[in-house]
Amino acid sequence: MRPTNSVQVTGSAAQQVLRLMEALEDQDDVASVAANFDMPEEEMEAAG
Amino acid sequence: MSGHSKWHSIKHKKGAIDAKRGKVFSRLIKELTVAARVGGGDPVGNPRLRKAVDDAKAMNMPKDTMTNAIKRGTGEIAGAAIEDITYEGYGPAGVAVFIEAQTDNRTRTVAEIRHVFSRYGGNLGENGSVAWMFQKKGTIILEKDAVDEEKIMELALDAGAEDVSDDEASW
Repeated sequence: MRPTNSVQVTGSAAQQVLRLMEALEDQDDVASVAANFDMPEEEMEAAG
Repeated sequence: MSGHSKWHSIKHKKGAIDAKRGKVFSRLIKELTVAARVGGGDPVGNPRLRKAVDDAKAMNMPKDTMTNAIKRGTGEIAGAAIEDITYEGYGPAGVAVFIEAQTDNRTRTVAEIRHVFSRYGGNLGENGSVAWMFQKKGTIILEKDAVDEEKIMELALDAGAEDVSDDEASW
């Protein structure tokens, strides 16, 4: 699934979003998670 | 580049960790079962099952495991009925989240997902609340030396593709 628009997130909100995504993916029943956030490359690197 | 999500690259890294945990297997098995139930047990006439089988082979799943999963889907082997279900919700900062899940127990899954949302500062929404923001899209990856750019562009445009992107070793 691909979003048709996106929301910019930065700072602590970005970290929160990533934590939520990971937690959802870790659920046994979940097959895929999609979200419409976009964040600066550096923050993605810091979290990844 | 349109529609490109950096999350996908993170997911890729995570994929390797998940594989170690063996979680990928149970997901693949569920997908095999559901695909076989929806479209029949023959991969030839069932693209979803064919994709599931390819994915399972890529992870070196034993053939017996695959066959059993497919048979559970077609009903040849009795087992819990697994079904597709989608959830929609909002995360921090109003980020829309769309989840595809496969479960044999909707009540348990919805409880788990609601719990995760509330714990990480989001909330589970009504079906339809964010689905309109997403489109189901596929991606086709080709080895770079297999074809030249012009040919790909031509085929992609004819097929109504949205974007052709250039990666180091692949298209």
